[in-house]
Amino acid sequence: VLPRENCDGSNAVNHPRRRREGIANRGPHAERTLPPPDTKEEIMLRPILVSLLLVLSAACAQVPKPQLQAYSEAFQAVQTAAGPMIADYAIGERAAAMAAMDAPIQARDEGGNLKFNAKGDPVMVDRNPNGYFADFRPTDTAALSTIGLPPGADAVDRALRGIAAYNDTLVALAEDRNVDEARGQLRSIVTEVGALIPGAEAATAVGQSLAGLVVDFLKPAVQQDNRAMFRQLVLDGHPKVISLIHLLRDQSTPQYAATIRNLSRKAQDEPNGSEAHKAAIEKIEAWQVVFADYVTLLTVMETRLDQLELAVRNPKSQPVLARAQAGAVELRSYADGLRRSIAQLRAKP
Amino acid sequence: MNVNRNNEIRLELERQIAELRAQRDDPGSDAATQRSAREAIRVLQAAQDQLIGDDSAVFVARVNQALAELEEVRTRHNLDAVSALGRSIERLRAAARAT
Repeated sequence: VLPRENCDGSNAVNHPRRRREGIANRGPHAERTLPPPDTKEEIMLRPILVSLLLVLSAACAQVPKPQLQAYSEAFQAVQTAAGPMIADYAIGERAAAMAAMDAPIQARDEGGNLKFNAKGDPVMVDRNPNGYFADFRPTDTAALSTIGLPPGADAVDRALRGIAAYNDTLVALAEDRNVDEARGQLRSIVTEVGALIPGAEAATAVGQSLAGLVVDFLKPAVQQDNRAMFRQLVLDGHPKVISLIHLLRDQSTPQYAATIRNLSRKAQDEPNGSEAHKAAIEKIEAWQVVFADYVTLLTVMETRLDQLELAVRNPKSQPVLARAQAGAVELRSYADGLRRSIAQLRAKP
Repeated sequence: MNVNRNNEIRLELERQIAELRAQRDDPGSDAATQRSAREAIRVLQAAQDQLIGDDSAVFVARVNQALAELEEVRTRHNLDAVSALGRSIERLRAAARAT
């Protein structure tokens, strides 16, 4: 049996005889000192301390599943609500871009410089004097392209998909999906190797059992690693997702303007009091409610993410757990309210 | 974010459009005044459309930045595929196929 070595390869202090005799690693003329003997209290406290440390490390390693569940539900409610809203946003945004293409443009002189009148105001001319678009500009792509969404609506969609990918990673870690994934892949390899090597078929069954054993053996370490990664991902990702939520919330103002764009044109083009004017205004008011519910859902989602982050930071915080569980009920009523608002809006002529 | 500023501009445009609508729809206004109001409304509406495009451009840039930061967090520890073990196994599988 080899004596245990230090990091530098020496075994001076840790050598059993030297330690027993209290020889410090301080050169050939070092004094002999006896280490203080362990007291009875210390010996009795040791198992308690070890147990306590084990309990604490287990507590730190726990995934706060109620908070994760509450946050995931909030995100799903936002995503569900955002779907039809993005479609209407895209219609309004595209219509605005199309109208901008048809709007007068500033005239240029023969040298290509922008023209101004005597008062310094820009001289505007019709961009399409013959009734068709005589040129193509890359900036027109948002209005014309039928591939994908216009930029603003597409950015809302991408922001939500980015958060969804982050959430999927969190859930995968919380559920230890990689353990089952590894088990399946390992078994698949054994089968493939059995098929590739002549005479190895008989060993395949043994190999399958072995693959299962290997994964079972590695499982606790993988799970522990998953908990650590989950914690880090929540702590590091929290400010980034919050910033995306704030961007979505701030964007609700221009998104609303784009969404009601066609309706507001109708309201502006018709005289006050006319049936068409009233109908447009009713729909605009319904969109107000939809956007209010959408922003409420975003706020709930932010709160839930804060609670998840807090639970990860303070694993033993029971009040946080209670708040997350209580909040789950109110979210469903928000989501129902939003669905009702959109249904009412769609039902209107 | 310039959303608040643009929203103020948007509301100001709405106010001006409301004044012009009153001129356009006033039975006492002459035809020239009504036509002039109609044209002015079109210009203001075009400005409203322009704001929608401007807001989108700013938003897209900010979302791109925020998404890049979130993706950096997600992939910092190779968490995109979640399973480091799974990836190692995939390499083994490829090696087995090659033999």
